[in-house]
Amino acid sequence: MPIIAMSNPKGGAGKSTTALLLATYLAERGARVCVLDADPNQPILDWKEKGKTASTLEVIGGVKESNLLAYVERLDHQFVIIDLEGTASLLVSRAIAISDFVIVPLQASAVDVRQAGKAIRAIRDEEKVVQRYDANRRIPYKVLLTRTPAPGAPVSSVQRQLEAEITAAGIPRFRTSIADRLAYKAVFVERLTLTELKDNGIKVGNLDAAYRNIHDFATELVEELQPTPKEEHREQ
Amino acid sequence: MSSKFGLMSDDPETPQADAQAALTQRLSAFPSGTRPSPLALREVDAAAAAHGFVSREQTVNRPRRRRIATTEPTRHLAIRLPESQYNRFVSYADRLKLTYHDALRQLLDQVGA
Repeated sequence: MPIIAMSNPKGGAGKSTTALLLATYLAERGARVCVLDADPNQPILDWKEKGKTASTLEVIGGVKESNLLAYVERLDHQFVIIDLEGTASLLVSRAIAISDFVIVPLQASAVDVRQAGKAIRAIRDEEKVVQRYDANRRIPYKVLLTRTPAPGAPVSSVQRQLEAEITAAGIPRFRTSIADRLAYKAVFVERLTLTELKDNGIKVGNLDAAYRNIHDFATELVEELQPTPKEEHREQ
Repeated sequence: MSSKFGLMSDDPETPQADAQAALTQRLSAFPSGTRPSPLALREVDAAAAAHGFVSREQTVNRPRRRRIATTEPTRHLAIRLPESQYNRFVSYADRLKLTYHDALRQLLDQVGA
């Protein structure tokens, strides 16, 4: 059961949006998915509880540093996605430590990137810690550019510089980026999935392009994950 | 674009549908269940603290406890216990303004042990 954490101490980097789009897409493709909503604003729990979605996605709210491990141990899903708060907290670091993959979403802004750098350094250090107990343990991560211009639209010089620096620094990144699309905002407004927006005849942006974008991202992520079960959890 | 030479599918959705089916098949290979790797919580917290990751959970201002002198010899008792039980015990002692050993004694007295 891969555990996937969304981490960037900077708020508004696209963690919740990416988590919800990814989780609903995987669920739609037949996977049993649970989101642990560890964002104090509980945006994904709000989406699930107050909306009328028929998605099979399960959402657990109220996740804190003191109960994170207890929640995770009880889950019986194929995929667990932890939507983390936009701060540097023990909750975030503990979630990173138990994750099989960390997605670091960031927009092309200096503040986002600097905060993402903090998350990346923490991931690397935590990997060293967990390897003392399991030499084969890895905490792979990739940065994910969010709110990028749609394909074909002009790319800002800031984004080009950022992409160049990410490459030069040897930081792994997803080939796919999450474009800035009205459809993604509508998912939260209408509290429906992308498919449900289309099925309900809600016309907002280019839904097909949005759907392909998430499909490409989900496919790229799943290629990174190993279905092989790991060892039993034990807190030390 | 329709196929003039029969080399392309007439159904524009087919490539996407194929890709979706491939993803669905790959997802089915992932087993259910929780199997996180071993975790050394204290060391993980220490490593993260070096990068500014600190506890954001509300901490209670601990009231000053009155230390009661005892004439008996004392022994040290270290207990490793789940964090939720730890928080419960410390909250109990704080609420009653007891030292930990007085809180433990009071609990033992209550059950007649």
